[in-house]
Amino acid sequence: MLFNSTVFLGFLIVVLAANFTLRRRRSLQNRMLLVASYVFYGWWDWRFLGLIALSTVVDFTVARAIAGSSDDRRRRLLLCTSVATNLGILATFKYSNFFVDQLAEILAPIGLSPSDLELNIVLPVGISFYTFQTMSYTIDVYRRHLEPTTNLADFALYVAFFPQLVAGPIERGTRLMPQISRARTVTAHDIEQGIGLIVLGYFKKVFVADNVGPIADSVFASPGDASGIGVLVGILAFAIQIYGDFSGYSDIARGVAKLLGFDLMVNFRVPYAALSPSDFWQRWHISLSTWLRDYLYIPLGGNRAGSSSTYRNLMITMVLGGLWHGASWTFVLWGVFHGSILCIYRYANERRGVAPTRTGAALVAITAVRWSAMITLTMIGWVIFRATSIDNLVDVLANIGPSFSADAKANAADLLFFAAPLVLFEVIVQSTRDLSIAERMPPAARGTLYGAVAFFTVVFAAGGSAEFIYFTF
Amino acid sequence: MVTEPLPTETEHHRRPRPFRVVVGALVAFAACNLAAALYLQRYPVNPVDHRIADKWDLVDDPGGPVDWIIVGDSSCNQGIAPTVIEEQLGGRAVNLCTTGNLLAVEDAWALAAYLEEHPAPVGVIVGHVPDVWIRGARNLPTGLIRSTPGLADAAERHPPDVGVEISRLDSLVARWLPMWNRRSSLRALVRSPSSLFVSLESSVAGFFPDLDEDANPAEVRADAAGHLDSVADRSVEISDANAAALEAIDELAVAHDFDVHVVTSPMFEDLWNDPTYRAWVRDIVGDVAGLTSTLERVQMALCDPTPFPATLMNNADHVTITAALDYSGAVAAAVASGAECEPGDGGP
Repeated sequence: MLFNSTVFLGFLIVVLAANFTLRRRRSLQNRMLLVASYVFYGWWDWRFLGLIALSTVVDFTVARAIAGSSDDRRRRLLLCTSVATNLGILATFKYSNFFVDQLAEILAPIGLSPSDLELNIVLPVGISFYTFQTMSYTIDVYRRHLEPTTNLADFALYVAFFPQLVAGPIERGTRLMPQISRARTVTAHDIEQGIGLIVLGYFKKVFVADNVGPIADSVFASPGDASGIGVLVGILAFAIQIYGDFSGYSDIARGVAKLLGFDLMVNFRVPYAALSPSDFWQRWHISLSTWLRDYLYIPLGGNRAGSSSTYRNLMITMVLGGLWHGASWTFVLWGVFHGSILCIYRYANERRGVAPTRTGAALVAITAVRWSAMITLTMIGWVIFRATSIDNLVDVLANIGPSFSADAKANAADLLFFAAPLVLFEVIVQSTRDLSIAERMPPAARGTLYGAVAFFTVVFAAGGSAEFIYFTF
Repeated sequence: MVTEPLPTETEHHRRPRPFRVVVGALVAFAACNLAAALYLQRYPVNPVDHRIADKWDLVDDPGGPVDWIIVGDSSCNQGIAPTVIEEQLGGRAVNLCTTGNLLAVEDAWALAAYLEEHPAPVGVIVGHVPDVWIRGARNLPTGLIRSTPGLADAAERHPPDVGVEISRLDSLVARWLPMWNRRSSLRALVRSPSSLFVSLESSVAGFFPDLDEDANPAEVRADAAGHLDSVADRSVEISDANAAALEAIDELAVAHDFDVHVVTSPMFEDLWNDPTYRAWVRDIVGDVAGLTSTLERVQMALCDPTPFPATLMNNADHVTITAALDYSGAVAAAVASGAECEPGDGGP
């Protein structure tokens, strides 16, 4: 069930009404939300409900067993069971085709046909998100950061909560479980914020991302036809598309959750304003970057064991982070790229030592240089991320040049038209450091703005419901 | 390394008033939609929408008595000049031709609607491209019908009944929810604000001629090639919807005592000179003539298309003004002769 579909609208109205009706009966309310979440997920493919149920039951049982044991070895073993189950599910459904394909290519010279080994396993929607979410729960229980719930239905809701189930934010047990376990009140502020987030989210997805996406698609499909500056336009279009699509989804998820009385974490903080790779990862897909930091980078040793270990840990974390996005060498390469620039920046900072304090024009100049460098690196990263193969990546980069065809100009004009409002909004948010900038307006004026934005979003909705990019991860 | 402070969700300590936000949003949304609806009714962006609205305004108010009503498709919209008809046949003429997608069905609806409010004409000229006669009711653009007030009403009340369901709700939605069914027009407007408040050209007695400098020989040849490609697979029989339309027109003609003259459109001369295409057109017109021979007041006046060079056309059956004046003369002469033609009777 896509957020940008009429069936979801009907579904949401029913769920909101039921949520309100059951507001004084938390337990029943949670069960209703659980059923709604399973209906939401099963709408894509009911066969995968069993998988999410399996992950739920395993981690619920394991977490309780971990908390009930004082034997370190047994606790570690139980944790490994949870991690192995979740990673096993992920490996089977997400990476087995990829590994088999690579194996087939290796064995082809000795006469084994790749088609003999094809598995054609369907990727369940959101599997990367909910497996990471459940793993974080058992790990936090193991670390004694969280007491496990004794209520299976509540835990199942934590795993399957529909607003964030298929594309995040990846919520920690320490954050979401307490909200599930206690009685919730939907305040007037929640309703205001929720409406604002939903309007903004649909604008980012429907008006911006869905309209610039075809520009990126056409350029990456035929870089030779686009060529020159047209390729750059396509890269920029993808950068806008992926941000509009993913942050739009997160906004809708947070907005819907607000209307249900939940507070989900902020997942994006104006990422294209980043001045360095580490700054970027504090702004982009924050729920994943913090997950990788807390459950991979720090357990590997983080930056506590010297420079070499730090660089190694950064590379491992980013490569696995790239691989999380999908079973493809381009995602691995993207991870390598981001790991590398993190290491390079870290090395440069270590060599430089304490940076001199700058003010006025010098500060503006150095900030401009830092931003230019980082946005360029980000765009290079997106080319790697979006390319369908290494060959496609090389093709795209090779076709960048100074020529500016009529088609490229038309694409640039389209990109400017659809991206400008979002870019302007991001500039305002960054300059004020205020994600809730709209709340500075009086309520009636804010509503008027929302209504106008919603009107243009409907008018410019591309034909059909386009899937969110991160559903494929 | 100095890091910039990150944007956060700041508490603004403003008293939340979700009701005002929701009401403000709904009012703004409705106001934008209403403004768009009113704008598009006054300044249609789509030329076809504009043309059809213009013609149905004339059905409602022709600005005085009319002696010759011309109905048909777009070939006749820019091909038959009322002034030439007036010069050669006398009286006052009005061109109500719209688009081939509305078939002859819309001709019947327009005549019925006109005759409800106005005196009968001396005669009616029905002008269509040959392949319009073989198109069925499934080709009817129901969205367009719903969004044109007079047309929607006529479709509901007048024969022929071709299965087009037009409810009042459909018509209201089509007219007053442009964000739903006029998105292309709205997108075009927003992307080109310089065209705001620019009226599309109005007709003179319903005639929308194209200037000679709008001729497009390359497009004419490409269009002709397209016509030739599809001939082999196509029918030659008049569709049920068009047959019902001619029968309904005949009933009106009998009831109101006027004659109806069916004429065939202009055509690119190279297309007409193709033997296969010529045979196909004559088969279609023959089938139409077979039907009209059974009707009391409807007759075929001009069976063969009137050929023109590509330099005086902008597609295979649309002429520019110089050719339109010639074609109008041929139509007037055919009507004035009073004779019923047979397919194979040469044109000028």
